Amino acid sequence: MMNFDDFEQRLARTPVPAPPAELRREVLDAIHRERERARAGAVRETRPSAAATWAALAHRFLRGWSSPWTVFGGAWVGVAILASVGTWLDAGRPGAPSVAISPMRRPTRLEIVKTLQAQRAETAALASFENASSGDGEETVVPPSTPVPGSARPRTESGSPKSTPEESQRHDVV
Amino acid sequence: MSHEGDLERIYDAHASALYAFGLHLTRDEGETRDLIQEVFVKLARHPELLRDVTDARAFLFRLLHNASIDRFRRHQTQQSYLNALAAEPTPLFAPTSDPDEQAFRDALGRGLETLPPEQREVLHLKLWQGLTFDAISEILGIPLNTAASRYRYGLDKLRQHLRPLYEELR
Repeated sequence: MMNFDDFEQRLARTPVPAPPAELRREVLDAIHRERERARAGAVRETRPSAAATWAALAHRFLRGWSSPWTVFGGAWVGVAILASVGTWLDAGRPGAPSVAISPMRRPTRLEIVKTLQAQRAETAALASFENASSGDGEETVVPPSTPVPGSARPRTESGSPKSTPEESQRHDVV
Repeated sequence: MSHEGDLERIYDAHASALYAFGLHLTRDEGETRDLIQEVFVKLARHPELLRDVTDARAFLFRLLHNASIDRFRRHQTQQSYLNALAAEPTPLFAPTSDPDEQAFRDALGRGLETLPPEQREVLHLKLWQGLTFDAISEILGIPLNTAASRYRYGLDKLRQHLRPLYEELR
């Protein structure tokens, strides 16, 4: 059976490798470079004024990805995309027009509808005026040569029945 | 302790220990050299770090350990980092001309490679650096009992791994 203490001592006696000789030069060179850099940096750090610092900050703020232009532009594009998606979804509802109408084109469409309505109203008014001027209103226009049985004769201004041309011709013969 | 001469003296006094500890942490010579260089560049950049230090070696161990953790985190994933390091591990012990002793050292190195890193670093600091559990817990930033239990578990695993060879060479 292995003795626990012996085992530990046996392990501890196993030598670890020494560092490579060139590591010393590498580390000391790195220390030297860092010191030189720190000295150069210390000289530079005394230079910037408050105005230069503010200018640098403003420049960085306006140029970065989080600049106001980027944020507002991105927000506008996002809203436009959402609006177009919403319009597209609305167009898919039952009873909705088959083609989605852009909100920007909706006033034009309303103008067209108003114009059509105005034209219809005008046509209707014209027709009713013509009917009214012919005196028959909504009744069927009947040729004067074929009187409708039972219909009243047209009357004169005094109210007496107006004679037809055939009757007046007959009167002329007599 | 703030100029290059002091850092040079510190390097000469502790480089061997740092190198051995770094090898146990990374199992890679190039990584270990980078870590040691990183530690001394940090000391050159912040000389005030050494101002109130009483045990320079323990402090350097701690810096090296933290640097290895930082480097570990900088890599994309833990597994890819470990795979890259374990591809061709650097021997953890000095070579020797005695074949039996070399066989033992090789087996010991392979046994250590099978241990979790946290057990391996405690074993190294205890066995090959001769530190107390108190100092180890201070360096690694873990409770003293944790350091002791990691040591015990790691040693048991190592003993199981080496038992056949150890009995044969005894």
